[in-house]
Amino acid sequence: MDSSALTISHDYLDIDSIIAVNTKVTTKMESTVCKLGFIDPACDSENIVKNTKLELPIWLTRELYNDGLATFELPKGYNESFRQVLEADANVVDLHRLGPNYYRLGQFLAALNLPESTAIANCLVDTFYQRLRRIMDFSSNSPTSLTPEIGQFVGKLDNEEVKLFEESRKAMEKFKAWEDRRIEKILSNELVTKLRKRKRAAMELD
Amino acid sequence: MNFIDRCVSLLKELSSSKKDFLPVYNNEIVSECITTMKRLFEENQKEALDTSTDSASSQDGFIVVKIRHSILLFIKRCLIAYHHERLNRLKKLRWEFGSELPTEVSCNLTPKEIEWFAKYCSNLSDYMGRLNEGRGFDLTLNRTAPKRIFIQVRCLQDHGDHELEDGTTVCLQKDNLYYLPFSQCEKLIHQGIIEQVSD
Amino acid sequence: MFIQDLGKEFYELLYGQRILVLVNYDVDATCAAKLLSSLFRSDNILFTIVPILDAEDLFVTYTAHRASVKYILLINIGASLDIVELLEPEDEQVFFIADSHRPVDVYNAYRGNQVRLLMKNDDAGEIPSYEDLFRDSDDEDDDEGSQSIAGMTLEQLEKRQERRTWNEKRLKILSEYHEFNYYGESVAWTFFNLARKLGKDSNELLWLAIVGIYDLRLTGRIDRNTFKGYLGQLKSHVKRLGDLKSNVNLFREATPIDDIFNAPAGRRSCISVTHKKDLQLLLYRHWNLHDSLKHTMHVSCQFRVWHLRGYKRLLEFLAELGIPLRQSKQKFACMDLELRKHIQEWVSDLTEKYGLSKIIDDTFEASHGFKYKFVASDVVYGVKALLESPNKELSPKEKFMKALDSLSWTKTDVLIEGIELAKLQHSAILKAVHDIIEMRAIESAGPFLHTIIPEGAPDAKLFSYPGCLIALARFALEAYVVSVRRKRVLDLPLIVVTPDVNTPGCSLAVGIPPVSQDPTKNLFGTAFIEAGKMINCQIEVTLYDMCVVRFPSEERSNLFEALIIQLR
Repeated sequence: MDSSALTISHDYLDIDSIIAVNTKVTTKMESTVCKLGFIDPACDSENIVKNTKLELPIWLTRELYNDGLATFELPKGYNESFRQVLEADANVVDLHRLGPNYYRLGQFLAALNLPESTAIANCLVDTFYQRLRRIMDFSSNSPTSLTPEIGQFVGKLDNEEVKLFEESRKAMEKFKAWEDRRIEKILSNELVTKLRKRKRAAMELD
Repeated sequence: MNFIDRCVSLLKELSSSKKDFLPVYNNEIVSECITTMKRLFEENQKEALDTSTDSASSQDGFIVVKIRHSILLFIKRCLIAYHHERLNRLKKLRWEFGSELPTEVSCNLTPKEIEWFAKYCSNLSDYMGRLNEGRGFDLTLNRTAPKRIFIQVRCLQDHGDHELEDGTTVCLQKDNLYYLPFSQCEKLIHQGIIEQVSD
Repeated sequence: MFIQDLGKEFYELLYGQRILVLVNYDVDATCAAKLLSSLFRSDNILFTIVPILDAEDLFVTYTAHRASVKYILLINIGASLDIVELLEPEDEQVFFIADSHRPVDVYNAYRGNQVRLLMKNDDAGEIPSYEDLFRDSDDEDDDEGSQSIAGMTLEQLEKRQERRTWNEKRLKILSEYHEFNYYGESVAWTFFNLARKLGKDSNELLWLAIVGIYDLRLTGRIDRNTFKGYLGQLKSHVKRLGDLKSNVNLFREATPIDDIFNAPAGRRSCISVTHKKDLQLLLYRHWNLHDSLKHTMHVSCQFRVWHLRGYKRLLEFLAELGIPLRQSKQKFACMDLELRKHIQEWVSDLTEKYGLSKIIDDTFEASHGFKYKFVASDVVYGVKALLESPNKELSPKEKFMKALDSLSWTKTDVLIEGIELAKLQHSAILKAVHDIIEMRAIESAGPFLHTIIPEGAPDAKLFSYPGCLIALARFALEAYVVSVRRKRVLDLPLIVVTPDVNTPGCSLAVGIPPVSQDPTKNLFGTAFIEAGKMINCQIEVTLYDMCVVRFPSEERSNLFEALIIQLR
């Protein structure tokens, strides 16, 4: 994760990371800073006064935090009460709603050297471990067309988990195709078929 | 701070579009981001060159410059990621569609991207031409190990006359059944003109 | 030119070459195409299969492909058309024609190397000799019109007279030759024999040949004796190829054929063909007994199910068989096991009493694995329904490809779909016959009977296909003969006219021979053409069968008048 704004991390170009890191958190300024008024859209003055609360993206908050200028609350899903819920049973939680990039943001927070960082890190690992079983189950044993049940399940997964699910599914499909001797059959490229379907759908609408 | 959200919206647009196709290049937001970056840079410059302040406010000034700079870097990161993702998808399109892109796809590209694509295609064909001891080798074919020399295919669109490697022509009409050598069918199958029929 | 040895004079020429195969839209041709495609694939002969709907289609397809092929094979097309005149091919191109339509056009027979007919000499019929048809024209009409009669020498006059008598004789021979249309050997069978000669025959190919032969039988193109001839040969092949399979036994001693559960896995996935005597009820395995009895032509006509009394008799028959009515209306596979096992026995006991002599007959059954068992006639009806399906969303070529798919054992769901369509087809036929009899829509026009399907009839779209139309005509004539107890109707042929849904403004007409005469010899092919010439109207003969023609709807009454004059 980005440990400072000035170095380039391994996920510099990753879109999901960027979106995750842009999550807004409630920041409380610990000291007054002149001429920093522009970061607060609600503020008219040029300065930021101590004890103002604003919603800032977390990457910006980190800058302020590292200089001791602000503190912030952990975003929803990472605080103590939530961690307890996850510890109890992670399978019922809708991680997609909590933030489709739960794990990424969690990793970011863990790298920040907050007092709760270790706890967050442990919680992440534990949550993933608990949910993994279900993901494996659903992806390896489902029919080729997505039933509503599976659709619902996927809807509650975090983006990382969705990627894992898709990979697992693809692998299972390939195996089934090998079993049915379907791999001998050459298919037109996926995108070409998709494009044709789109065209046909567009023509039908006309 | 709204401009930051606008910037991220670029990326959200890209991530929500289907992973394979390119949406229209969002010139508006990109140029907005660039102007914002310029503005921030100028303000920082002004601030940095402004030596007529006392030590307390210069401390603050330092912070302000730092914050502005980090915003600048963030916007830069967004823009680079946006363009990088688009180019990656474009690269993949070469392997799916061949060097001729259908109009539905190419209408969403900027002229620079089209130029880049042409260069990539020529790089790829140059490389492929040098394989196999100079005789050339098409990497886009035979992605699965072929099982037969000849295959039975059915034509999906009227394609007219198609020349085979031995010089003879085959007239490809819709819904005819053909039995042809595998090597010459594969490209047509990839393009969706014919489909393989199993028995 | 006729080719007797298909192996040497046809197949061997094709090694390393490409061939264009043009196929007609009937079941026999479809089976032959499928058979040939597996033969060609085993020898890496490149081919292209294109289905042909009518003469125009033939011309267009040939023009598109003419530059790229040397050998062209026509299946069930072309024997009765003058191919060279129609298509004007290049000199090097060779046409092979495997067609069961007869009589063979005389130009095809004498065209030499360019047109090669894949049929045995005795199967091709009595073709008039060369001298009777063609003569050198060097001493022809150069002095025909230039001199008056008085100025000619005796010799010239005699020559002229001789020429005239020769011409008259020629015309007479040709008109006799073309008077009746009939059918020769099944093309699927011809190609199966080729496969056998090459040593490449198998159960799958045998099954295709069986289906082709049954198509000829069920559409009335061959009579019982010819069919019996085939039957003997088919039975011996079934035995021979069946035994071969039981010898391929990798793991244990020879097991009896029924012991399929212990067979090595390979055997379970190949098809096995058996011969047996079975109920000849339409699609009864895929339908229920009651409907099947109602829709089978000879049962339906025997009982006259369109009358209430007749229907009651049918129900009595079922009751006497010992089958409860409720069960007979359930799907056959869901009936009681006891009933299903004994039904054939019980029916055979009652055939005399109810006059159902044709109800039990020889048939062949193919099974694949544990699930699918099909009888030859089921497959024929299924494939026919797919070829003639009224589905507007599929082009005719797509329907042909579907029919071709249905013959493949990995795609049996397509065949099941076809069988469902066949049920619809036959229900429509029964209903139409019902209406015709009830409304007394069959009228006599003197030398023939005729009936007209009204323009807006709901099932008219099903009858716009020649195969279905012929089936309707046969059923209608049979039903009429049975309802009207006059001796005279036994000698009258029937013409059925229906609006052609696919070609607006045109109608299709089919003529079938009277019940008392040979059903395989049909004179309407030439009769329609001659009548058309008489009224100067464009009559288009369908490629499927010469007795089905297409003509502009408004000429109908003129056509009938011309026919009356013709047939008197």
